[in-house]
Amino acid sequence: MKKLLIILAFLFSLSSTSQEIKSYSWDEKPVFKQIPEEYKNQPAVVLFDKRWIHTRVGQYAFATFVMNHFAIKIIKAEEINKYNKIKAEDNGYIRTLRDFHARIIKPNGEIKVLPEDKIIETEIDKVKSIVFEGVEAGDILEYYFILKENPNAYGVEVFQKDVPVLEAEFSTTHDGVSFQRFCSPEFSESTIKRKTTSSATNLPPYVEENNSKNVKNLIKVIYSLYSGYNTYSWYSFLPQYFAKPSFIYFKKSQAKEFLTKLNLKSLPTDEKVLKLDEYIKENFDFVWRGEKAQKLKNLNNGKLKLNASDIFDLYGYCFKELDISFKVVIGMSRFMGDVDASTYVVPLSHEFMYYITETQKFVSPYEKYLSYGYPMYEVQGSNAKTYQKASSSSVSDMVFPIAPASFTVTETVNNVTLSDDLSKISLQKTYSNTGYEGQMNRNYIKYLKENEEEKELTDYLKNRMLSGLDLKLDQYDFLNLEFKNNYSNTPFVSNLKTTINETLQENAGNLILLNIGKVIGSQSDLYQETTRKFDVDLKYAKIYKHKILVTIPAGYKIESYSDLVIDKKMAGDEDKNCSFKSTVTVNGNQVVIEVLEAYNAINYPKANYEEYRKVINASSDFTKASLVLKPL
Amino acid sequence: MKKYVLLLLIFSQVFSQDKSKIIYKNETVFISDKNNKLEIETLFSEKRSIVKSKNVNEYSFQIPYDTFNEISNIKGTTTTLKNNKNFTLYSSSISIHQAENENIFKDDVKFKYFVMPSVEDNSTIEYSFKNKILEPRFLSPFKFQNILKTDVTQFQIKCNPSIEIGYKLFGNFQDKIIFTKTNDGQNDIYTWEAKEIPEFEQEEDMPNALYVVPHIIYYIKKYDSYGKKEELLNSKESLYKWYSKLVKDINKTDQNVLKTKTLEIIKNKKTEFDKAKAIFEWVQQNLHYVAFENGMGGFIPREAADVHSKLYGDCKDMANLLNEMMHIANIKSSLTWIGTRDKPYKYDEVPTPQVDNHMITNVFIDGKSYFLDATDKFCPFTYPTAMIQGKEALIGKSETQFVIEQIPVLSPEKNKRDINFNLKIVENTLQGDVSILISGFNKSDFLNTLSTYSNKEEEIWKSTVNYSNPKIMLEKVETIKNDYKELPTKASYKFKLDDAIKNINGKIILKPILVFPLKESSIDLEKRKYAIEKNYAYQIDVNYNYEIPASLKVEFLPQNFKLDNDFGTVEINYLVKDKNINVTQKIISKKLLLNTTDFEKWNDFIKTINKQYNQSILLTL
Repeated sequence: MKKLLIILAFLFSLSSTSQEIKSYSWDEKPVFKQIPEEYKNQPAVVLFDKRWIHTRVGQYAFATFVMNHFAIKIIKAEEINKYNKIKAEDNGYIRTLRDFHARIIKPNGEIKVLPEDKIIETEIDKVKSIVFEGVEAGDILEYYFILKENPNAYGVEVFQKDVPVLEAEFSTTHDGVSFQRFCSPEFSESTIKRKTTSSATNLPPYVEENNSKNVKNLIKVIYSLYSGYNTYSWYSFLPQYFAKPSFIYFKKSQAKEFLTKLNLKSLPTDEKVLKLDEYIKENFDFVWRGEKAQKLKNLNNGKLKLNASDIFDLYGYCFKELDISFKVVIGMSRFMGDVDASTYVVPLSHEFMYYITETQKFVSPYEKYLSYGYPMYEVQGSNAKTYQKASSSSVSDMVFPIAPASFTVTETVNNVTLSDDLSKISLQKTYSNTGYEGQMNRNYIKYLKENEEEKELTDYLKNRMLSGLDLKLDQYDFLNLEFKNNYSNTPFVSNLKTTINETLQENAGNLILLNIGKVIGSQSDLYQETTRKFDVDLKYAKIYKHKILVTIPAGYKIESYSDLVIDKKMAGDEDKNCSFKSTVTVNGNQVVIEVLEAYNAINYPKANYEEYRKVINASSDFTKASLVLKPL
Repeated sequence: MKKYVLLLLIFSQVFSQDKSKIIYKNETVFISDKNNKLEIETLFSEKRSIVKSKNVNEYSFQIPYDTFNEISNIKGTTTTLKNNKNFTLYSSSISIHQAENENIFKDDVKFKYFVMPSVEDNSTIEYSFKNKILEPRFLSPFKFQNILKTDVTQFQIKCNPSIEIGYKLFGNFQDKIIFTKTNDGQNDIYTWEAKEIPEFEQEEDMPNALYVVPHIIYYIKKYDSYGKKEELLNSKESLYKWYSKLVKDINKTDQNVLKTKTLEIIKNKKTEFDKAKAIFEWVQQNLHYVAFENGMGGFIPREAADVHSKLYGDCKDMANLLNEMMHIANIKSSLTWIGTRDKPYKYDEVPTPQVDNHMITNVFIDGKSYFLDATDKFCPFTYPTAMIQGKEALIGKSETQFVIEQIPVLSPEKNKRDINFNLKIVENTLQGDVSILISGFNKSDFLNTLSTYSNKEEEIWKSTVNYSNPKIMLEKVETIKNDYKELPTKASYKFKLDDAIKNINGKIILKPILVFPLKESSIDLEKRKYAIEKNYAYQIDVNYNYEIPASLKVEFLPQNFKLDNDFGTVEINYLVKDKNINVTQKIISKKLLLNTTDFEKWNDFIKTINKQYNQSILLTL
């Protein structure tokens, strides 16, 4: 009897939280938080955004109940259209809508509940929705709905909006499964009677900034569900998927034959990896969405399309067969988030690659553009998890290296020819890149050429290398297009011949101002962005070198070039700062202008923003700078 | 052996081709009035050659339908050319989805979606379906041009000779479309066939694709019913007859609350004009755009009393509410059907519902006709919205009477920006203040942008001055929207521009023009294929007053300049008065549409403007 009572008590406790969510309701007379002074001029303020997920998985249960309860005060009438329509939907497959209520609370406290017959439903996916009626500025719009859905293994709940959120709440209850949650630092967690709630208050409006970790900084909660043992913990996830390479579209014997034919055994490790990487990157392409992966008979058969995971595992297999010590490395784009210390977080994109322990270099099978060497730029300086099967402590931590600015150098040589009356200008530009920029340009231009995408190619050249100029692209060719050049960081070179359609000439009496700075191409500016919310995070450290050669036609003399001489430098460590310096030398009638712009770090703290801004603006100022000429 | 050579030839032909294409696209419409009732069914079929299977959009299809038609009998086959294998499209692979349109809250449009099976590089696909049309006034146009190059395309109408068909071709390549009319003894057969039509690629700021894509609008003028000729869309009169029938029975709900509200709005307003203005602005301010496109609900306005209490509706709901409120105020007013500038059609050319996609209200005050469209929350009273300028409006005067009037195109001075700079030279900077007045469509555009991006308010306000010169730093003094007032939007700022002054060996260079309308407007002649559409004509007047330090004197002033042509006007004048230099800059953009034939001349016009922007004043000690 005692045992039966215990069982009944247990079953009752299991069903109690589901009953609780199903009977969730709003307060008859709602009381909302006061809007702080700082938000009173906002167009609208979210008073609260409460979400609750209850999942039951068991022998007789497989369901999730989702509750959303939301209230917003409309301060400015223009905002009404953004918030007066609501859909009772979630990411999952809706089985039933259990509850859907909406009301308007007028500034005088009058409450107008929307009748249920105003709810409409879509014919196909049965999503119910409603429009708030009679909304005016000053009203509070409140609604809640409860859905029954099939359980989702994971989800991302974004709470930050364009307007402030006074209260954000994410609760979970569960039977037969466990929730794991990953919250932005603004949230704090509490558990009362098996209901765990992450809460945050006074979330500021979302601001998007250039060169910032916008997605990472977005205030959100990520959750995943697991039943029993957490198979996503690094200690179980990594051995499960990476202990042994396996192939879908070819056999192990074919992989063996592939490796034998490459004949790498006698080479030193560095060269073995290089040759293997070069062969795969040059010959194998991924099976794109829409394409059908084919069973392969001979991997050495030139250009082939392979399933992406087969390419990844082929590297692993070859390293193993060649006795190359390696680790599988899992990172995450630093713009998206951080790799969790203990678990693979399913909804987030992770980056998978190899690390060769002897050479301390990375192989990135999923990045077609990137050669063996540095890791992909997105992960630089961030934390990673590594897995090495042979190692006694198989899972360990790593910090990705940061490629120095000297790795990614963009260099241009601009030969400017002026007609005698300065009205016609032709520009011959050599545009060369190394490092990340070089590898990406090389890969993309090679793709466009192979696919005979002539229009896209010229558009790309105009937008990327000749931006900000109204010109006709007369001729172009490329040097060092082969992938092998990536290993030696040999520049990818584009030679471009153009005729400029616009005038660069400005007049001031008998002085002629030649806006020669413009030929380096348009540069971004931060003139109006005087304040900064987050650190500046660049894709990669980089250097720009520009040389402009102008021969002044007979009949003119150089009156001044001081406009073109700019020197701006961020204070502090030379190895990490950024700078812009341009110099001018004149030899007879030839003017040589040289620019050196360097960003030696990938992160500039918010505190240094003003100095960073000055350097960025210096490059934009340069494009407006002129050489002053005077007729003889 | 011969067979193999032939096969090889076929293969090399297919494989040598760069891009996917439509081998044929055919549609046949069967129209019958045999049972005294119109029955319409179309049979559509298409064959494509797909070069790269990764371009899934080339072999995945969405067939839309709504309350007024039924799609059935979808069939399809993929043939891989490498091994000549056929794969059939199974009905289980066809899914049905609700169409999502962010501007429509409830839409009855759905679509059947399928991806052709087992497509590999170098495959051909063929698919077909039937479309039963339930409302004979809603016949969809047939397009001869597509996103892929089309080898052959044929459109056919087969109907009893008793049925009178109307049709008209629109768009480019009309010379490539061959028309024939035959009779097979039973049916009249109208056939339009075109060959070698290049692919269509959308361009930024181009007019709606309907202006360029060759297509046919066809419609049933008359048919036999019980021995009598029944008119369907024989003329604009028959179109209006139907429109009028649709709105005949609306506004039956009690309007007492609406009447009270209207009288409250017009209280103390003496003239009809003031009353109409007050009503229009109340609707603009208080009604929010929410569209329900459900069956005939997409054509019939909802009850004015309901729309008033809900405070939301779509264009026809707002038009009807306005119309009823005007009637309550004893102002002559009519519901008005119109096609926005997206529609290239006229009522006389194709008297069908295809002409229209919008509804507004026409009011008649003191002998003047005004077109009111409250869907633009900030459009000034008496202005039509920018999107209907120049279009024909069908004004329903009574149950049987209507008139067609052309909406005016607003002249540039109605949409004005006045910028006034008062500046002085401080070392190498310019400092002072600037104010701006914005009116007409410029004002409504600005206020709409401000309300859409309310979190970027400061940036948007400043951009009214510095959008063409981001180096200008502004500090707010005052910003006044003046929404729903006959006053321009106004802003004033403290102004600073660094590095504005160059000292070249004792000569001070001052570049006096600081804002550069149209500067970046030249057209890439190599790339651009289609005309460029502008929302409205406008005028920008800028006045610069430079206070010159006592130590400096003016050595050189640029020459005054004026150019006036079909595209616009540029006028820049320089005047020295005591220690002040006054510069005025007038820019007028006149055209709503730049045709491809205008492009070279337009670029010359922009070059001329830019040359004037590049003039500097020279000052010396």
